Amino acid sequence: MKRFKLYLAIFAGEAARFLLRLLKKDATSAPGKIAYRICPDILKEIDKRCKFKIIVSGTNGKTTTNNLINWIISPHKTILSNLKGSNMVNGIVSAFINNLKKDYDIACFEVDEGSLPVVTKDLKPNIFVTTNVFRDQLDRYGELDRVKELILSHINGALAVINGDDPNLASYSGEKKVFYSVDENALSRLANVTLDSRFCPVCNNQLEYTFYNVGHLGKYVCSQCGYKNPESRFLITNIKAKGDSFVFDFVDRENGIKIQDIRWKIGGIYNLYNVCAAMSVAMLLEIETDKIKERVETFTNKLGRMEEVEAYDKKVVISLVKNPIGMSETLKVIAEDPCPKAIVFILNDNAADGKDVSWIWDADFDILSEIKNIKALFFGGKRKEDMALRVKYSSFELKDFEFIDFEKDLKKVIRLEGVEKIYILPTYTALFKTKKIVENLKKP
Amino acid sequence: MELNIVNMFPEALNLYGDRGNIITLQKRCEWRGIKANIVEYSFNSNVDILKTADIILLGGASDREQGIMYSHLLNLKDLLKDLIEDGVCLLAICGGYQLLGEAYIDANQNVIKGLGILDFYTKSEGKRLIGNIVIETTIDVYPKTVVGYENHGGRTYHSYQPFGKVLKGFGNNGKDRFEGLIYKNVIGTYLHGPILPKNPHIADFMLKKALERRYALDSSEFQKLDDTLEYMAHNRVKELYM
Repeated sequence: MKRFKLYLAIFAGEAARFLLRLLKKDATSAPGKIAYRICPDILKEIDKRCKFKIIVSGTNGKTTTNNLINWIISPHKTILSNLKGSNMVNGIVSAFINNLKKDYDIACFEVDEGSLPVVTKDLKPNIFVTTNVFRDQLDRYGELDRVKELILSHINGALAVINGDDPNLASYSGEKKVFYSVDENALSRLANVTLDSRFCPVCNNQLEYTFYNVGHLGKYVCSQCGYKNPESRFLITNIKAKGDSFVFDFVDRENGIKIQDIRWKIGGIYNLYNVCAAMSVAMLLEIETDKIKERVETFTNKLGRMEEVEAYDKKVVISLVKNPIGMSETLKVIAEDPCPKAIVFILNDNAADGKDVSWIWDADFDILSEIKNIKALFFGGKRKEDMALRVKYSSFELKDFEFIDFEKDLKKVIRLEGVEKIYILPTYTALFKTKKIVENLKKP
Repeated sequence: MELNIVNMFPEALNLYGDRGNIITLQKRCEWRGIKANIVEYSFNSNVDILKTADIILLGGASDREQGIMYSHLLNLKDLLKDLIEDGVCLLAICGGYQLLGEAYIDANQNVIKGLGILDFYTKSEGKRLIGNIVIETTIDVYPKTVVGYENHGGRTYHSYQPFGKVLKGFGNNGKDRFEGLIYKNVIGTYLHGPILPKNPHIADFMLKKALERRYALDSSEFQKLDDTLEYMAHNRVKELYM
């Protein structure tokens, strides 16, 4: 009876997928939704079919980290993964339906923080990667402390791969753990506006920082109780920033291994944390170091996280923004690029974006005034006026800008003359529409 | 002219973009040629900072951070009370609003003491009240509507003048259709959003009150600004959610 239910669920899910593909619709969530409704035990089946399981969770960087782990490991093992950012139960089950096999060497799933209780009930990870905890959609997840507890309490005895530069996560008290970190570099800052977390998780005193890499990720110490960065086993160091790419070394301190001069082509210092997490996992899985290096260097991003697409005679860069730290960091990356550019902000307030748009006020928009050569500025989405208002109240002088209906007007924007690059910064529900529009304009 | 604007414990009381309120007051002063001295009142600050405040902002925080703050704030109770009686402008939001009252009664009937500056209490009752909110304010401004976003578990009950009547959303307790509290120049409210950028008439109401108190300024001397964009954002919330 139980088996019957499972097969029915898989069949129904596959049928849904077939239909969705026929209609050229997104199949990253609906097939799983149907299958899970028919057979809520389907996660147990996925658990059984995968010999080794990895979960990636945290506020930012899940999708990139998950994709990079997959990219490094896939030449060596059969792997099941939800690569498209659909990270709730439906997304995980859909990944299984869309890539059906009897068994897999490895499963690697990114899991939404709010979905951890349901997912880890049936899916027991061997490795649990935590990226970071930042202020995100408070209406969905609650306050930062609650999110931190949510993540740490679901590691459940897995080997925890923890970002040691995040003072909240580094206080994890479980025994099986390794830390990773990113060294100080030319892009580290001595002061930081977008700070979500300033207090020692042990004694509540204010933390002191030697440097900040991203938000509250950096080198910290508590002058009261001495809490500080743990000794990290894995480390990205000797970082040289070249335009919007990096060259760096990766070190495994425990085994005295150093992988030198790794070239990484995607901008943003926050990405180095994602790279460090993914490389740590690859090292733990004992993938050969030169193979790791080769894959890291050939990784390209196709998921709207600083994704570059050519359309007409332009380069279009699409970058999902969904929380203050992500917005601030994206603006910092754009500030490194001197070329003549247009910037398009698209702010929606649907459930998946977060219905509360107040987060834009916690982002550091003063960085906009450091960006050179902004030729045009556009605001789109349901809450475009809120976004424009946020910019008006930054140190950037908001003079010429245009409100757009992005689904109609994006084509026109991309044809704009006198501009080399178009940066498009959509929230979640605008991301896929944006990608679709831009991809249809790709050079033939 | 200048105004001293004091942000209370910004390292902790800074939830839901409320930083935008400070930025708004600061910019709207600058645009009028009024010098805005933004001062952060923090753990080791000198209380004299508060004594010379024209406007005080008291935000909310996560439970843990609010707990850290409480003992620090309690030391300031008498001073804050005197300042309020003297007409200082105080914007207290969400947790900061609740703190002004006598007590917060949590889900397990534990009584958590507030500062007790005003005579009211807040009770935790069931699920959080979350969503876009539009109210019709009782204070003398135009337009009458105030828009924002609320997200609170506590229900507040009081018999002071409310800040407004709820047109859409929950307000103080989801029952009596009132939102917030007005006492002298204190505005207590659950409105995030943040409240001031999209409600420039409320920001200007506070600035005017502060200038009147400090300089005995006639409000006709108060320069009007171009608020087209502000009211576009304001009206969008009404259009989408009312």
